[in-house]
Amino acid sequence: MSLRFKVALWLVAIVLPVVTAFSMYRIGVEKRFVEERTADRIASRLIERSPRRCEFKGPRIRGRKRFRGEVYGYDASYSPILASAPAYPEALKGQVDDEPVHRNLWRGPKSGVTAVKIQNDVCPNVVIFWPDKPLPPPAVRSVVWQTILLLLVLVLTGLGIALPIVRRLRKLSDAVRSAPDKEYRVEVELDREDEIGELARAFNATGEVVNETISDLQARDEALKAYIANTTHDLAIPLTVLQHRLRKAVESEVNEEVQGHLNTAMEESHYMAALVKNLNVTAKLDAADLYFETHPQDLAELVERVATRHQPIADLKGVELNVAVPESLTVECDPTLAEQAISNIVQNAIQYTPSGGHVAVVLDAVDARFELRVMDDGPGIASEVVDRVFERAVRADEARTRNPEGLGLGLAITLNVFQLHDWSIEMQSEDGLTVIVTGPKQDS
Amino acid sequence: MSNAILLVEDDVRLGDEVCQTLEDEGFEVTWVRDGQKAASLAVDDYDLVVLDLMLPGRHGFDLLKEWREKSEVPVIILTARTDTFDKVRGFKLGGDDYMTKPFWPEELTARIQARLRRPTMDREEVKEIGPIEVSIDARSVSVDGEELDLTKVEFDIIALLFRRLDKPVSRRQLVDHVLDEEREGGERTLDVHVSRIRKKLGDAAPHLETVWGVGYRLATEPKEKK
Repeated sequence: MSLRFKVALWLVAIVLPVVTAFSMYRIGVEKRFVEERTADRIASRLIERSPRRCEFKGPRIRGRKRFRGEVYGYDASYSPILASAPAYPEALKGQVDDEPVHRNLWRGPKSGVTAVKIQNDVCPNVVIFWPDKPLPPPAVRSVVWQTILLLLVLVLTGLGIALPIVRRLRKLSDAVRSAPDKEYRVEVELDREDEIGELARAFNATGEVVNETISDLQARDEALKAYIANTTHDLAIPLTVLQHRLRKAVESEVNEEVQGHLNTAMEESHYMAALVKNLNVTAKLDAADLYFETHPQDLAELVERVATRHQPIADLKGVELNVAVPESLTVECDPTLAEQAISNIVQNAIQYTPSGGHVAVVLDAVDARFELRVMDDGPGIASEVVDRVFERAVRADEARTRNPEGLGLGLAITLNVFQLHDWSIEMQSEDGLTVIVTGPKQDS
Repeated sequence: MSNAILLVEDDVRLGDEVCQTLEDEGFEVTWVRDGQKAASLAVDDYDLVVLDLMLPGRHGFDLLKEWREKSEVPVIILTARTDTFDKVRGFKLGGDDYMTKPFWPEELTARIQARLRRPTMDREEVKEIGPIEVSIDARSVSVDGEELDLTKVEFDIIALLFRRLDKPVSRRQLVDHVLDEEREGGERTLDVHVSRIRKKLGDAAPHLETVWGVGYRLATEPKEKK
């Protein structure tokens, strides 16, 4: 609810009834005042010039056009002279006995009565009965005018206070919203000595704390990234040496048992190499909104490179790895991310295909798109597991690799990379697993 | 095949391994560990360069830039960083290929061989594949000197496979390039054509291999028949 609307609502809901009640009260007071004055005047006249007769009724009193009360005479013992007259009001008995005075009693049987003592032996007591009569219009009109004026003043004052506040708050919130990216600082209202100025200063103070925290975190993040980058860099060389030595050891003549150990060691070092590369890609993905940049890249060459990387392990496992690519096929991509993403798919296919099985990696141009198919004749995965793979990748928190469900190495990373490139991925599990990746290609 | 390779790598362990691996493969390797020294060598004396980027004395990119001004020698960049920037810059400066550490010895030798082989491959028009002789210009295929009677589509299939000799070619690629899709249909038709070619090849048929999940391959050395 906007502030202006609230002010208006308060005016209508609270101020209007209060002012109205006050006016009603004022109309009541005014009425009594008018009546009292009239009563006083009539009573004075009666005292000055006592009427001779005792049977008189209201309109007979001259000169009082608007007076419509009734006047009755009573004897000394308060009995009415006129048979049709009402009884003398009990409360006024004895009130005006001694001197020629009058007493008013309001809220009587009718709206009010006035008792008057006059110089007349037959009817020394006279009572004026005031009928319930509305106040004459001119008096009411003035009260109504005053009320309207009061309301107007109140509304103007309310708006006069609310509008500048609303305007300043608007300005402040605009300034907050348009504050330069990640600065959390405003330049307006700072010099004002009121609550809004305080708010602006408090925002800036909080912004400074936020900025400090962010730069702390960024520094820590940078340090961590640098550490990861350095570690992966440092790991790369010993791993390469390890792989070369293992390869040479396998080629030398050793007995079957040792050969088995060496094969396992080769597989593990291959796995470690993939971890190192995925670690690096993860770090890149984290900063992807800042650094993601695509370049024209020959996808055919990239796919061949990936296949060459996994050929040794496929040979070792006795899995036939077949690759077919066109002579060249240019796409826009980040070569590092795309290569590792595709590498993960191929590596998974090889990993889950038993000895004697096949893995095929086929890249084709289909109209204006490329289509990469990675097929295997391994056990495949259940369709509900496929769904779960995609769910997880959306959360992107599972970089883990060898889990019991066999969801595979860095698949979350892979899906993330494809999402970033706007490439689509599809998995079909029928007689093995087929992963199909498609995306736009450049015109050749 | 030419086989003089210049290896520019500052890390002793890695340089040693790569050197040995390449020598085992029959290459003649010159290994320098310093950027300055590498710059002083006549790069055209080598058939290929394997270049690490992080070098003392001179950055790999500077070397590459200098060499490219005067030489076309193939350069394979070695990088431990999986930074896209490095690769893109490497390609822009005229690098031919890159390897990301860690890598298997086979990966490196495969990339090197691919680079060394490439220029000669394309020009080849006549070649013997076992008993099969293919001549692209003459549009002829003969087995043991006897020319085969092939239809146009059949020859086109062989020609495409020949162009990618020893590499599998996908069914879709064959269909796209060789068959008139509207008239002849898709992959089933291709299989029919191939089985006809096999019949005509006779004893040489194993050279035309079916590759699981992919398509077909014309193999210099066919795999043993199971």
